[in-house]
Formats: sequence, C-alpha cells, structure tokens
Amino acid sequence: MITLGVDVGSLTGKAVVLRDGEILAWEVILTGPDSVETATTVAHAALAKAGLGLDDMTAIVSTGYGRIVVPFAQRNVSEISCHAKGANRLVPGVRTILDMGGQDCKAIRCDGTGKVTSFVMNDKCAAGAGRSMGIVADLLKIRLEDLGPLALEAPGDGVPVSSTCVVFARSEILSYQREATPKSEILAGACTALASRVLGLVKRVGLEPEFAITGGIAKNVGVVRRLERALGVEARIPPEPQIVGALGAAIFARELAEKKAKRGDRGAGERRSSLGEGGSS
Amino acid sequence: MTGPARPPVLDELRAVVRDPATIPRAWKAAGGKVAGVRCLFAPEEILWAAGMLPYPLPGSPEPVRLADAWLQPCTCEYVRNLLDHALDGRLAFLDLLALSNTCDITRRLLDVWPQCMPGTPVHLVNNPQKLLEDGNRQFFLEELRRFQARAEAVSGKPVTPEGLREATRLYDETRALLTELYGLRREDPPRLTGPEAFVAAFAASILPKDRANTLLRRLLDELRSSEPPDRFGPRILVTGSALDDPALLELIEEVGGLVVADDLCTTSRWFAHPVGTDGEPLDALWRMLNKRTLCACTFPTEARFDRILAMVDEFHADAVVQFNLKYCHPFLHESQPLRKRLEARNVPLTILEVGHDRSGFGQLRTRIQAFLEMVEQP
Ligand code: SF4
Ligand code: SF4
Repeated sequence: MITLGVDVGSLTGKAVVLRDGEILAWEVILTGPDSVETATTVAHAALAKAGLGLDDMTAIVSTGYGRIVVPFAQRNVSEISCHAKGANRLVPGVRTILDMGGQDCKAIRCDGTGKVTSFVMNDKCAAGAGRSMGIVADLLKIRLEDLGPLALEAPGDGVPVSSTCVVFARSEILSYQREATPKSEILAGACTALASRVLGLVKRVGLEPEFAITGGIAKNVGVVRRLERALGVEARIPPEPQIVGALGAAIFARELAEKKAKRGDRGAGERRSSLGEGGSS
Repeated sequence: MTGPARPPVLDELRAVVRDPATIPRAWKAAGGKVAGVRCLFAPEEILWAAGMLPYPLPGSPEPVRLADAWLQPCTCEYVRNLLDHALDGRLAFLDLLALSNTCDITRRLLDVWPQCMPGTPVHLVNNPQKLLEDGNRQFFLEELRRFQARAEAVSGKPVTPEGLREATRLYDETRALLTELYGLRREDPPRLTGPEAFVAAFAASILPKDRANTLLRRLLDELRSSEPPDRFGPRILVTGSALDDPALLELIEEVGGLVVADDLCTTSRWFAHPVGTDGEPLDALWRMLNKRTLCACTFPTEARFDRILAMVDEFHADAVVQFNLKYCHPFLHESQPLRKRLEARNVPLTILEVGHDRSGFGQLRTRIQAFLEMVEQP
C-alpha cells in the first residue's frame, strides 16, 4: 500500500511518500502565496522522486495550516496529531515533542502509539517561532543555516533580546549592531530568547523523556543546546526534522485506508468517526 | 449542513441574533422604554413588570475602536466592544443600564458609562457574591426594592405584585421552553446542532418574552416533526464567558465536534433556574437569584463545577471546551481548578482563549481539531 502525506506549513511545504510503512521519497519546498499550488508542487516533486503519480496513492492526508485546501487529500488531520504520529515513528519511545515551525510552536505529549495525550500551542505572535530566526539572520546578513553554529561561539547567553515581540527584538538587535556588539553575542541572545519562550510551553505540558524536537528550528543547534541545558535532558532530533508532520500524515493515510478496507461495505450502521472520511472540507 | 431540512423558524431566530438591535428599536418606535442588562443579577422580571424591554446587550464581532480611550486594552473585549456601541450611538435607544455586582469590568461601567453615554441612567444592583446563603436575604431584598424603585422612576409605571407575578410567569415559561429544547440535545445524534440551540436561546433572551415563547413553541413543534440531522463525532460541552456570537460553536462543529450542551451566561445559565410563583414575588425572585452560582463572579465555585459535571452526565458529553473570552479574568481563574475536577472524572478539557472580534480563528481551528482528534482516537 502506498500513501502520501502533505504538510502545508507557513514557511515550507513538505510531502512524504510511504510504502508499507517505509519512506519511499520526500520533498521540502518554500511555501508560495497559494497553498493549493504549494501542496500540488511539493506532492508532485516527492512523487516524481519515487517515480509515481497521484493515481498510485491508496490514500492521501493533508496537514499544516493550509491543510483544508489541499484538493487531492481525502482527509485533513491537525499538525499536532501528525507530529506525534510521525515522531513516534522516527524517535522510538518518544513521549514529549516540541515542534518549532515557521509561524507557531507547540509542545505535545503522546503515548507509546503516537496518540496525543495533551498539547499546548504558542500565542498568536511569531516571536518564539521559526520566522523570528529568519528575521534575525536577515538583519545580521548571515545565512539561516549558519545562525546556530555562530550562536554557539558566544560563551554565555548573549546580550538580552526580547522574547515576547519580534518587532521589539528587531529594534533591539538594530541598536546592538550600532554599538558594534559581536554577531555571535547577538545571535546567542536571540537563541536564548527563543529557547526561553518555548521552554514555558514544554513545562506546561510536562516533560517526559524521550524528548524530541521537530520542525525547522530543530536544525538550529544554538537553540537546541540552550533548551537542553534549561530542561536538563538531551533532545532527540529526527534525521529530517522538517518532514515529521508530513510523515505522520502519510501514516494516518495508511491507517485510514486500512480501516476502510476492514470496514468494507458494512456501511453506515455503526457509530462512525468524524475523523473517518468526509474529504478536505 | 446537508441532510434533512432544518426547521424554518430557525431563520427567524437567526435574523434576531444577526441584527439584535432591531428588536429594541421596534419596541421604542412603538412607544416603549428599553433597559440594557448586564448580567444575571439585575432581574429582568422587574424591568418587564415596569413596562420596559430588558435587552441583554449583544456586541458585534469587530475590533475595538473607540473604547480603548476609556478602558485599558487588557480588559474584557466584549465590554469594550459594548462601549464602542455606546460611544458611536448604536445604543442610543437605551433608557436605563442595569448592572450587577459581578466582574470588575461590569461593575466599573458604573463610572465609565456615564462619561461615554451621558444622559442614560445607570443602576448597579449590589448583589452579594456569596450565594446559597439565607443570611443575605434582607440585604438582597433591599437591593431588589431599590432596583424596582429605579425601574419605576425611569419607566413611569409602578410595579405591582400582580404585574411582577405575571412577568415571572412569562419568564418562567421561556425558561421551561428552553430547558425542553436543550433536552433534545441529549439524543444521539442531537436533534438540533450546537449553533442552532445557541441561536434559539440567545434570540429568546433578546426578544420580548411573549414573542420568544411563540417562536420557541413553533421551533419545538417543527423539531419534533423533523428528522434529526445525521451527524456523528465527539460530544462536546462548551462552558465559559459570555458568548454573543455563534461563530465559535460553528467552528467546533465544522471540525467534527457535536456541541451537545452549553453552560454560558448568555444561554443556559440565564434560563437555568425558574423563579416559581410561591409566596411574595420579590421573595421568589430572591430565592432564584440566591441559587445563581452559575456566574463565575459568585461563590461557592464548587456549585458551578458540580453543575458542569452534572451536565456532562446528562448530555453524555465526551469532552469539555472552556471558552475564555480575551481578558475575561473570572473564568481564567477557574480554568485550573475546573481541569482538576474534570480530570478526576477522566473528562478531557481544553481551554481556548478567544478574541471577541474572531481574530486568531485559524490557530483556534487547529487547536480544536487536534483536541477532537485526541478525544476520539481510541
Ligand atoms: S460570569 Fe457571566 S453573568 Fe457573571 S459577570 Fe461574567 S458575563 Fe456576567
Ligand atoms: S465575566 Fe468575563 S466576559 Fe463577562 S463581562 Fe466579565 S470579563 Fe467580560
């Protein structure tokens, strides 16, 4: 059985093709202004890598903030359930997941099967989310992927940077630049701010190991090390932290197809699940 | 929603909720007087007996504009929205504003309102906040008498014991009809959706009660002869702040939940307790008000939690959503104690902070959907 999971996030679109539980192919692209187009492009890119087409898929599930507009998905599942499901596959024994995406950030607790038992999400502001790191990198004219390692060059927590508002943080960083504060100090400060912001989320759901970090920020060692220090545990980072949600969606697609096959044409009589079918309404 | 046709009278009720101010305006045009009421302790029966139309002051889902000059932006978004209505003339029909001694923001309207809408008298019923106590009777009755005198002075019509008894009977009928209507949601699938039930109750609170009762009776008839909509999903009880907009309930149902019960100041808390016709009418009113521990500003809090748990059982709810209107402190304070009570019974709870202007609904959708998925996965 081959299934597809598509995750339309605020910064990137992700797709995972799954055959009998094994990842066949995956793709990550930048999200364009049109979510339908992003979903279609990333799905076809991942499928092309596997030499397959949409018609070869037994089931397709979408997730991410653009999940409800993916035209070819049979069902949409929240990114919270998908991250738990995907992390459960990639990080054996995972119980707490911190997903740091572009626009928001969530701490999720799950059981041994990858079922969510509780979760919290950040507030509306993008401070504490991936996009704030992009803004910092832009300001300091460095590449996003260099940000984490550079931040680690500072011995301590860096200069203080606002953790509650990206606009404040931006003006603080501008004035540090005028004072010729070393880049590593500013970056360390930005990473500390982000880490302290999301720390509260993890504490609110309660930390139980194994602890995994998913989403784009998991690639930023500056933030990851500071979080580990503050929480006193080692964070497990899946090999491709960005595709965890799409992988979860592909697994949900598989479960959906299996359930459907099992139910056969027994029809409507039983109490159905609202998560069952019903398309990408 | 697809499926069997919905009762036609719902459209009429929806129109009331969509544009509530047409009701008091029509009342005024016919020569009547209108009293705005916030919230549960300025008894509407007294106002009605004095010949006035009690109006529960629904807001509108839009960002606050003018009121921020009068109240801090970190205060109840509903009340600030209401103040906007006062400031831009949308409440020009008010002849009286009747307040209760409840949350700070409601109480402090006593000072702020006259600055924003000079000329409208404001009366605060200084109800005790510790209820279920016989010891407060004399004090509370005195407050009710003062309120009655104020109502009479504004309307120019004296309140007689017969008039008050008549008003009580009318309101009790509304309460009985709404209780019956809400009872239909015990069924699986429920005979009416969460937003439909909300609209019926909220419209009834806005309309003159004789008119409301006619429409509710029609709704009950139409519902009994209609097919229940074929729906499935986790059964949700919604509890929380004053909700004056069905959008949140619609969102919960859109992502697959069935809102089977609501415990809200604008709906079931408002109609939960009948007054009855035993004894002196003012005394009967006191007895009812003394039971209204449903308002988060009153005590004992445990009585309110007991009711929520009883509703979980009665309506077979799978989970509870606590809705906190942005900056509504009374309900935020009880979120964690409520969680403890529900956890002890293994009832999942999610707490949602909701903007009165519907801002942040995108993320809210994700939160609600994830919560329902969590409740539903075996
Ligand atoms: S809890 Fe409800 S009834 Fe009590 S003051 Fe608040 S809005 Fe009014
Ligand atoms: S109880 Fe909450 S919603 Fe009601 S008026 Fe007070 S602050 Fe606003």
